[in-house]
Amino acid sequence: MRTSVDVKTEILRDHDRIAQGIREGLEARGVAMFNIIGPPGSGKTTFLEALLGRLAAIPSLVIEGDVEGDIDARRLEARGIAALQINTHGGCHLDALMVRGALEKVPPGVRAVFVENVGNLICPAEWFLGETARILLVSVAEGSDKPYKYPLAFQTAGAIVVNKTDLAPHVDFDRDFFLKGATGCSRDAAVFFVSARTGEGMEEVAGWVRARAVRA
Amino acid sequence: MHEASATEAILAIVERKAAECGASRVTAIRLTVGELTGYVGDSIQFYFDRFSRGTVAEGAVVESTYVKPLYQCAACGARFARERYSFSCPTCGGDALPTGIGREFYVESMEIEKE
Repeated sequence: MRTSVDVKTEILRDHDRIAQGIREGLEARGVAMFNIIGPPGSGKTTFLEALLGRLAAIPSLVIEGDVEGDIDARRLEARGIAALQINTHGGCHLDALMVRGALEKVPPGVRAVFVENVGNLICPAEWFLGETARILLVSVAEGSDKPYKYPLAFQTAGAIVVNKTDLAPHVDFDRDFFLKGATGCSRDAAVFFVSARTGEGMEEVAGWVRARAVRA
Repeated sequence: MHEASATEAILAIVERKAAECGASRVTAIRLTVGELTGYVGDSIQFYFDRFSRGTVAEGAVVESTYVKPLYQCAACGARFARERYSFSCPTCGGDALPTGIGREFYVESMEIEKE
């Protein structure tokens, strides 16, 4: 006998329940978690170096997500920033199970965890990790059309950070076109223009992070 | 790679439902996929063919129905699908706001065979 049956089940339901469990666990411990999403080369690791240098009063740790290797975690550790490495071995995004495993190794006393996701604007946007907020990092060098091409990443961001403003005179970044797209994706996201390299604008981002880390 | 982990989740849902229904075989699976998610039906089918070998769903056809993202105009309230490289309302030029339509990703139904 052949028959059709209704399923009506969210495909990521089980995964999102795990992520929700992470969020509740972190909230109970007063720990904030930030999911840093951005394309390869947008400056995620440099941004974290600049950011954590301004958050000295908040004990922080970075979970580095990469397809392979621990070059970013070692780089942060060399700067005195505590870091754990996750390798996805080909996977294009971190998922809640990977993050849950890494969180078990976070020492007590840490108040803010920064998860540097795999460099990619597509898949990481789909996978909730239990974060307090998402920080989307792009750079002027990649062009101003990113909100139009990757709307979900912008739609789910709590903060949209445009990095490498020191390169702006050398690239054709249309700030108005970018902002029109970014606000079309989200009216609630805070938008920052920074240079992680020179430190320009970083204090404002640090203030935004501090307000959320202290609340957690 | 985007679809690999999602396909594992689809197979788990299908196998659970098939066991509940006492299905001897699953022949088709219907998905609803919002285009904002970026999931590609052909790619899901590709992984599904591999992951489902030896299961009740081996050989099942995965049919994806796509949902276009809808936006709402902040000024006039009209709902619209946005044009490429624009977040402006086609009626009045106002700013677009996301509605949540276009983020769907679920298993709608499936075709099974029973003894």
